[in-house]
Amino acid sequence: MKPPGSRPSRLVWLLLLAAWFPLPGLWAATVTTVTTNLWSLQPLQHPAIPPASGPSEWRNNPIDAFVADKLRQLGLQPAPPADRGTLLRRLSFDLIGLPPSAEETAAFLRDSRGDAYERAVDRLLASSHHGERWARHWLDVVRFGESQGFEYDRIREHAWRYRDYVIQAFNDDKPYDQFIREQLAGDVLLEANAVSVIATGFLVAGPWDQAGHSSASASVRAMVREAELEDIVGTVAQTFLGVTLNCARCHNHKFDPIPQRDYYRVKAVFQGVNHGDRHFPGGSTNDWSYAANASQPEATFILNRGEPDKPKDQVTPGALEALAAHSGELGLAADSPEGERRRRFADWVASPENPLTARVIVNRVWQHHFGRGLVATPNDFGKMGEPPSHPELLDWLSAWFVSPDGANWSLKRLHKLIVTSAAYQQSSVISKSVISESVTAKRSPAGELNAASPITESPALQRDADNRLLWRFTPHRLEAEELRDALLALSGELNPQMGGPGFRPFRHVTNGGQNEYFASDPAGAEFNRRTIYRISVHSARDPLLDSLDCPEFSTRTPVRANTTTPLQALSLMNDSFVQRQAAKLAERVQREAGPDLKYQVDQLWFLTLAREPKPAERRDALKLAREQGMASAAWVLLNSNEFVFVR
Amino acid sequence: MRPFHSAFPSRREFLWRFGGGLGGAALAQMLGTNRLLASDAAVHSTQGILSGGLHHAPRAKRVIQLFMNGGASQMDLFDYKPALFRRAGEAFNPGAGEHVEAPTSEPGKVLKPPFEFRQHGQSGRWVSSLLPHLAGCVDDLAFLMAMQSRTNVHGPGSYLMNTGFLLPGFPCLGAWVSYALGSECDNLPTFVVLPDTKGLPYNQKGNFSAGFLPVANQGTIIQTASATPIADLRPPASAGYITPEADRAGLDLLRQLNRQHLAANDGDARLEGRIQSYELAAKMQLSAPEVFALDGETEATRQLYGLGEKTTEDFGRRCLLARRLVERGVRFVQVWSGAGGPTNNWDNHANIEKELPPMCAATDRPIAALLKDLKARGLLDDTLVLWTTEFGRMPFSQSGSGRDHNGGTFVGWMAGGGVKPGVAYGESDEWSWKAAHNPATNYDFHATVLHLLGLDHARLTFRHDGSNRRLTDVHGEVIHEIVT
Repeated sequence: MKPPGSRPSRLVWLLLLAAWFPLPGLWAATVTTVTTNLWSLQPLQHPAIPPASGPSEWRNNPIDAFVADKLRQLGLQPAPPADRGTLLRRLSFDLIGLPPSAEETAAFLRDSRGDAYERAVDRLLASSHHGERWARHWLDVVRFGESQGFEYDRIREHAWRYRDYVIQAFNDDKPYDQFIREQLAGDVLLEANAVSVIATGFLVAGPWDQAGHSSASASVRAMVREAELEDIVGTVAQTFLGVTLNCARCHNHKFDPIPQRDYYRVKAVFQGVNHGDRHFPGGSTNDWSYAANASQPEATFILNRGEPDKPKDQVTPGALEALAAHSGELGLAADSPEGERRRRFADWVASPENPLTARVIVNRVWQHHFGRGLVATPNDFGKMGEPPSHPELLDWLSAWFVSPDGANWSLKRLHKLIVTSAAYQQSSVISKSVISESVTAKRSPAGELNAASPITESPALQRDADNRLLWRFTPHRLEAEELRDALLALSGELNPQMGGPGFRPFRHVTNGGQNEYFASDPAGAEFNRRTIYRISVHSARDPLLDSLDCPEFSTRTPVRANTTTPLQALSLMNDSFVQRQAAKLAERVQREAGPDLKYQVDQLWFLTLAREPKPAERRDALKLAREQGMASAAWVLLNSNEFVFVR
Repeated sequence: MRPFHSAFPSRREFLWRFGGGLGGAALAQMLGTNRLLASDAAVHSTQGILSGGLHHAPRAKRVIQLFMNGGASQMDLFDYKPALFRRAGEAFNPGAGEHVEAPTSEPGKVLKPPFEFRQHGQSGRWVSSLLPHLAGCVDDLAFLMAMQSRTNVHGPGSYLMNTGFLLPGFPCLGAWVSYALGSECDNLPTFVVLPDTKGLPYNQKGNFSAGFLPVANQGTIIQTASATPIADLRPPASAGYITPEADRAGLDLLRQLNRQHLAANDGDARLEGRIQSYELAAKMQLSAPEVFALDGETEATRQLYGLGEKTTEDFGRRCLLARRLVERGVRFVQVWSGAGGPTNNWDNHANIEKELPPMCAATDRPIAALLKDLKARGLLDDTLVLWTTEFGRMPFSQSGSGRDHNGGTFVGWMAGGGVKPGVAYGESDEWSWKAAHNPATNYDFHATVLHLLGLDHARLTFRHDGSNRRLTDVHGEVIHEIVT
């Protein structure tokens, strides 16, 4: 794999490095004095792949060359490869959001072929569960909700089609540039079809204020509409460009080179878009989709302090002006046709010349594989966001991603390159002697490195406790959906039915136009589908998922919180869903392992943790199973740290 | 390169993941520090992190917020306007070509409050005959007589009064306070919500959301009328295999497995934190039932709150529970009056004379009881009591004898720690249609509450969506006139 394009001079590269490297003082000085030098707005660089270094398994993948180079500069060495059971579990949750089955684990542990891991990667990327897993990440970013929110909170009966669109797009490995065009302008593309019309559900996935829109007061209606457009403009800009354009509604952006004018030019692009159900080409009269309903908008004016009753200068539709090498002038007149506006804007975003587009998606994909993006603020590539930890790697990957000789916009190729890197396959253990003598002496006085506590003995911990440089794999707690889906998979109750209207585990009451929802936990196959098929109604949230940081449907969530709380512990201990799956899991191991309790315990361990129990564990679990029943033992494992964390 | 003082995983990361979740006291204990959690938890910020401690000395340590859902009618309760009595039945004409509109209807004639007004206490506050008990407490209260909302639609209005934003997705006051201060105890949630037993308010749980703050700061809902007031506090009846013995034996094995796993993974703080969370959960299981056991209260106290009487039973029970919760270290309790929907709340479109009195009767005595009880126990000195609603109502009629929403002016009050007693700030116009002098926005209100808690509203921030988000957005002035 060769990096496309030419490389900048060594001097330029060093300067860029200096600006990028996480030295807060230097960084601040660089960008406050010359804001247009904001790194993310510069054209993609095409850095040379550093010479391979490190252990032999680190010499096959360009990613590893970049990561190893940085580690070497800091005098750190990577962790050894993870053991195979751990690795398959990690990979499986990562690519499909489900644990490996007992058979898959056994087969993988037996497979001694050199390409066993790569085969596992290919198998998981080809699984239709892959789209279900990665669509969840996307739906978080695009604030996907299936009800209007606010006081009436009516269900959007047809919003699920957009959710299915995203799942299908990821399963089909739809080229990312096409994915962008469809979501921004799928209804007005020359080749518009059912799929692309449904894709515009992206634009209207946010909340919609029914009471405000039906207000007798014109000023209330105008204010509500202005807020709605801010939601659309903000989501477009953050999702695809990592730009907080919404911050420029009331004034020029306080930190980034985004004038207020830019906000209104982009608003002019989307000003014709309205919420609502609509038909799509080829659908029957009964087929609806909650998607963009566009009409020719009125003239667009910059609004003083963002207030609808205070228009200033008129603007023409356009894009961002700060990308020097990719003009935001779209050649659109003030009264240009609605569809033409979004088509041109979509082309401007989905262009290999737009450095933000590639950097932002590459960073999102990286984030979900490693737990944190190369840029830790994936929706904000501005001055107030974090600078990239590996700027050269980010640019190399971005250039490769859009290049016809590279991934050519294929997300699955990007996934594969990342998960087949040695950096990804590292163990999560903390090595205590991973530093070379010469660097130690040069970097810091000896006394500074010595710490009393055994856990801080590791130089890597001392130098880079957050593991930004990737000297090991960072363990993480299962996300809400992963955990719920895993419980269903383990209990054998998972209903694999894909697509279609979501399931509704709640009681729904209408009260004078207002919809009230009372979450419940009904049993049955209908409710045992993957969590992504649980309808996302604002007022019908699930307490178990809530306790595990499932985000608000109405808020853009590029990074989920990952908290540990007593209430979360109570949920996992006592939630009726968890209890029921524990009982089912117990029945399953009894069924599969036969009457011998010992084999049942072994099977329980193998299913939940992808390993055999240690003798002491087996002894203690046997005692519990004998005295309190196998369901108790299953419940313990489903609550255990080893199960709840991916390492 | 960065200095290496951080412990593993970095202290910042640790607090980001656990901040607030274990409660301030527990966390401070674990980390041997009393620093303000807000500063450390905002780990994604590239901004300077606040230095240790509160922003200034606090006047109050905890909050009970009473929220009247629907838009309580200011001119029928507190904002006495003789003009409405004099000119009842006339066309509403505020003069000077002012445009008059209402959000859900055509403006009707001037509507006289169908209740009698009298002045009360040393301070001489006007209170209508609907609130006889509270009228006896006016010298303890600081009234904001000209509050303003940017909207007169319930959804955005409730969001604005709770979160400072018109749209869903932002953290509410209780979540911000929880995030900033954590809990005073480790066996109860930091922020508790006691909804009306008739149902959740407009926006439902959106009003108690932690938004983008860590979910631990979300309001824990206690359904006082339910057999299981706190969800998942105990194993469900459906799980027959969980006997108390099985529960204990299971938790023992769990602890043991988690300890061994921790040892093999050399002190990973997140694993340690999760073990602790189960220990705190166990404490919560022990403590929570005691809080609900109102039979421990004296008969005099029960009577004071109106327990045992149908009208006041529900709200009275929740006010008493609020006192018990703050007494035991809960930081923020929100007590709601009124469910969503067209009735059973303060949204009196159809008939003020019929719809408003029952809401007042249900809350008046319990609220007065809460104030007296807190005072008698010395708790009012450092507990803040807030009475709020999302907006007010119109001076003219809707469908004959009701009133439509009005964001132009409305009334709220505060009492307790650091609040100047017996004062009023701001004034509406002669109709109680719009604010005339010294208006108070939701931003000012929230800024003042945070100020009393020792927090600078401009410095309590969390990085999200490209900004350092605040409860007060880019607005807010502390109303020093009502602060002692």
